[in-house]
Amino acid sequence: MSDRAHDDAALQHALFEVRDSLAVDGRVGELGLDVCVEREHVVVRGAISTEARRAQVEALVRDVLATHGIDLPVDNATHVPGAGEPSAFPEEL
Amino acid sequence: MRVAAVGDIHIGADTDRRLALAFERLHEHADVLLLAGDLTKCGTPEEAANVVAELAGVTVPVVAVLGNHDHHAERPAEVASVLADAGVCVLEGDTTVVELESGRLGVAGVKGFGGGFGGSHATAFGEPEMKAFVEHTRAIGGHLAEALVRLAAEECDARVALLHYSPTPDTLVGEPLEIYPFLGSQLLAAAIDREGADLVLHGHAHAGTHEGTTPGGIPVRNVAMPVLGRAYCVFDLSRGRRR
Repeated sequence: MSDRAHDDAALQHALFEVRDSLAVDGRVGELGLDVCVEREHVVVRGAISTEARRAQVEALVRDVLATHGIDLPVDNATHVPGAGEPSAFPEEL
Repeated sequence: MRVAAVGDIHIGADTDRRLALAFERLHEHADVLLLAGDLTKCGTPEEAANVVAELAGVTVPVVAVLGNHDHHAERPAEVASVLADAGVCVLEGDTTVVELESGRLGVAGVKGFGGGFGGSHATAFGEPEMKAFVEHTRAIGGHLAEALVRLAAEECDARVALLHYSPTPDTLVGEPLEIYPFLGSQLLAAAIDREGADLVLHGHAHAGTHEGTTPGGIPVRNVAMPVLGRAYCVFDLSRGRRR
């Protein structure tokens, strides 16, 4: 395996661990977040229940990447779902 | 007959009370609130107590099913007990009939489980773990069918199947295809199409789509809060089509 292919594989394995940690680490604790690499940035997308947890995403991802010897910028593209009242008209069924 | 619904509110130890504010006026918009699972973040009784606190301002009947997150700490009975002690009707293979001024609303509730859809559904073959996976969903589908049969005998004006997992891939569009088998099962739709319902509600698929149908044409709505983008949505079942 070439060095490039080896690095790509290592990154994919690291991203797996990042997804897992985002779900089980109590700092964020959100299952199902999307983690990918775009333009050499690790991008995290998805819904997180509170702003306090959302603020922990970058630090957690950096910690996990560091254990794999990876140092890439982290883009926190997650969001906290709106909790406003419904629209004026209900759906009639 | 106005039915409010939401799922996947994921209340943890650190709730920010946003939902509590929205729920205080829910009675102005709806006659009952259905919760489609994943009420807590990790399924602890302490988090369930926070869910109860978020619901403190709700003055209409509340009916719920648990979701996978509510099972994470492996204490679902305790979670359900905390909710039930606060007046929430928690269903798992059970039914309830809510007597409203506008009529009788029947609700059959199960968490559901995975397996997939159509020709890609998992098969109960191979290792015990694989067979257990499929048989677990098959059993839940059976419980749902039995619950819908019991509701049919209750002369309800409308019947709702309340799930956490999805019975259709329609409401999963937006999620990666690779995880569809972990988001729901056609075995759930089979039960619903066989025994009938007026509306199916589910959560679980945060990146999914709001509207869909079972193969038999019964309306399915994904009411996960990230899909709704608001605290809850409301359905008017006043037409009360019996199926």
